[in-house]
Amino acid sequence: MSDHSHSPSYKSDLITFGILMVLTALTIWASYATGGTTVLAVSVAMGIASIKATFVVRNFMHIKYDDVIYKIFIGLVILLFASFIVMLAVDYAYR
Amino acid sequence: MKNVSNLDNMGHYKIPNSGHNRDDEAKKLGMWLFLFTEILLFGGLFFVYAIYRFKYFDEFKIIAEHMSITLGAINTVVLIASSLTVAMSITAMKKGKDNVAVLLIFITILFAMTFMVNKYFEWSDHIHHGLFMGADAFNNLAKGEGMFLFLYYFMTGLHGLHIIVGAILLGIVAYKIMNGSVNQDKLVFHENAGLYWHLVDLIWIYLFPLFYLLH
Repeated sequence: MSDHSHSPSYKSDLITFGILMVLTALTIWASYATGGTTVLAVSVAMGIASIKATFVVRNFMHIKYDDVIYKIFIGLVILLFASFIVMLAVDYAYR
Repeated sequence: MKNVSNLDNMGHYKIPNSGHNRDDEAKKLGMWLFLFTEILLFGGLFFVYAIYRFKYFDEFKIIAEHMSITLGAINTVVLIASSLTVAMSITAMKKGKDNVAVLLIFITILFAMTFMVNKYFEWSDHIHHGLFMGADAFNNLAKGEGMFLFLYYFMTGLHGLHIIVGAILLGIVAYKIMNGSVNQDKLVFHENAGLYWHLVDLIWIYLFPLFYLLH
């Protein structure tokens, strides 16, 4: 139990929601501004999605209140996922 | 020497304290491990999507024009709002406001239904236009366009299935709050159902740009 110093509140839940709404609007705007399917457009869309995902995991899933072991596990899963993506990209590029 | 205290009255071996100690931390960690398997399940599909997006770059762009950004955006807002109400219901439980928590869970389930109804109209529209496996219009599409639609139905369909499961789980949470088996001091079941719901939201956060925005 490590969540006694900063317990979640309605206010922090609402702030997180507000940030997620702004980022949703931003990603829709960016999809028009970057012109659809260019490498830039894909990068921006995935970048904003990842920022949104970080807010969901940290604030809604309460990882910021949790023990360090959860952060380590999530870090490892992200690393695993990222290494798959890299292997996939390398395999595809040199096939 | 046998430790007599570890035998029950039938003489069977009994793990010390079994059934007496609750381990919320282990339950939560177990839930996270399950969520990791979910990430790998959807991850595999995202890898397939990535390969075909590279392979059929232009065809993906053309067929993605059929997707309604408006409907996609509405569902995104609905799902993020539902994540908010779940998070707030857990906050309410921690403050001891059971009734508020139950109300917020019902609102979440309502959002889930809104999402699915929206999805139903969306899919019906595509199917009506013959954009479904086996239809003539589908068979006349280029290979990459068909692949996009196949992935679209598979990934949003699997996600929709998770929405249904999540909504049922939240319904069980509401029931348990009302009968008192989930309460301010014992809400790990509620928190785990919340984690599942947030994961469903998390996956949609990636599905939305990949299927709706990139064209």
